[in-house]
Amino acid sequence: MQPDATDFQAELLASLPRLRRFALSLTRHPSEGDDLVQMTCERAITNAAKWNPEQPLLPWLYTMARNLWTSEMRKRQVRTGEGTVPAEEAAELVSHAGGEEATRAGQVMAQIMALPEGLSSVLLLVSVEGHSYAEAAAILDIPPGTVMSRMSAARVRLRAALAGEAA
Amino acid sequence: MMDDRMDRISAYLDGAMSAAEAAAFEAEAAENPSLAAEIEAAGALDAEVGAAFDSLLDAPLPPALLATISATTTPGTRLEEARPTVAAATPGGEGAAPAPDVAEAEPGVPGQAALGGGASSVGGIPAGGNPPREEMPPPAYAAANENRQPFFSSSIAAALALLLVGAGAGALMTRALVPGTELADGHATRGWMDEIADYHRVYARQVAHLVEVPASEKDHIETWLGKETGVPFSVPDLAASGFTFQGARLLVAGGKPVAQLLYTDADGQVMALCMLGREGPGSEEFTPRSFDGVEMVRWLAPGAAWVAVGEPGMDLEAVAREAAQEV
Repeated sequence: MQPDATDFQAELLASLPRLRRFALSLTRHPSEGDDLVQMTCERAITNAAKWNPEQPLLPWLYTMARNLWTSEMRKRQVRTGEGTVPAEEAAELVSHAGGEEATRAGQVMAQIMALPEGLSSVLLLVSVEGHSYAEAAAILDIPPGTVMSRMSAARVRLRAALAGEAA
Repeated sequence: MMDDRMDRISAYLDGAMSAAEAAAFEAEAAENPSLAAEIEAAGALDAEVGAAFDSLLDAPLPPALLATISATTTPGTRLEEARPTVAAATPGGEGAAPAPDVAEAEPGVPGQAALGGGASSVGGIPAGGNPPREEMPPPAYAAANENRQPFFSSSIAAALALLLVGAGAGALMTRALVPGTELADGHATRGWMDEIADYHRVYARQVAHLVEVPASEKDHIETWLGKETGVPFSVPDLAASGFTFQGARLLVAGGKPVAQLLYTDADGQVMALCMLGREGPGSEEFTPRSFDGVEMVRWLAPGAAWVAVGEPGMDLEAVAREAAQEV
């Protein structure tokens, strides 16, 4: 028996919705986010033996996803000189609930996805998932000061964007 | 574009200030209504951001992703070992229970949400047999999967599909597993209790405007907050512990309505009992936690999570035990 393998499998399964959400915050594009989740899971399964079951799996997966995305972006910049395309269709992802709430969540999500690169993932990690600036900085491999300025910039921009929408 | 004021509000909301800095900032906000309003607006914005991001967790996972994951798992080694767990994780009928609440009510609580590992988190989902594969996957997915992996991966995938798509059980499991997870340096992820602590830092200083509805309207408070939170309760009389009921507020934390009952001691120090609805039975445990200068003791009643919130030095556990008898 390899109890660690079953643990790993179960944890990976349980991590998928959150991993997918994080990947979307990095790529800001649903299908690219899913591609990234796919690559991350492949790599995670390959490297499963390196996972320490004492440690939570998600930060490990997040760091892996961020690494993959960073190198993907580098490749693209070399190849085409272009980065990614901000997603406008994020509202489609918010499909489970009906009525007004879904619409509002979709609007907010669309504005989050339209933030400049690097802001949505910081917003997710810090504001939604409660990571400290230092933890978010470690996952994203950026200085803690940058996490702080991105959080502030994200809030200022979202506030303006959503105020504009409500008006 | 950089907004120095928002930098400070962010540092405050994100717990990046020291206790002294936070206290100074609160004192400044108490004198400056526009700053206070901005802090409140930023907090409300965060709640919307949280709700929007959380709504993504319930979205069904795409078949192609599931197929790739099952196909990339090496048959015969890990996967063989993994299969029984995955199959056992297939939700039974109650996968569709009013699910997210149990977990959502408890983020940020160590020992509760930081489950031991995958196996125990899976154990939270009722066990079922290995599912008959033809019942499981949505047709489009089954086709996609069979093209990729003719082995037993369809039954894995079927379990996956059920787990992750069916009734949002995947999201439920994830939420049960992830919130409150202790990270390497011991920092727990932020949850409703952190938000309660934020509220306490602000409201405990509102001496002249401590409550929304005063203690004289106790009956109204019980009806009103019982209805908003979905949990009937009585306002506890904590005179024996030296606390006088002052009144109540309705808060929102973790995206849910929270009843906040405010008390003061003889020195005028503020203590609050906060409660939000959750699924699940009560427990006898009283769990202390510190949040940067705000102390809490949490307990679970049937259908509700309660915390006593106060200053360092208060015997909150005694208060919590007394309150638990009375609510």
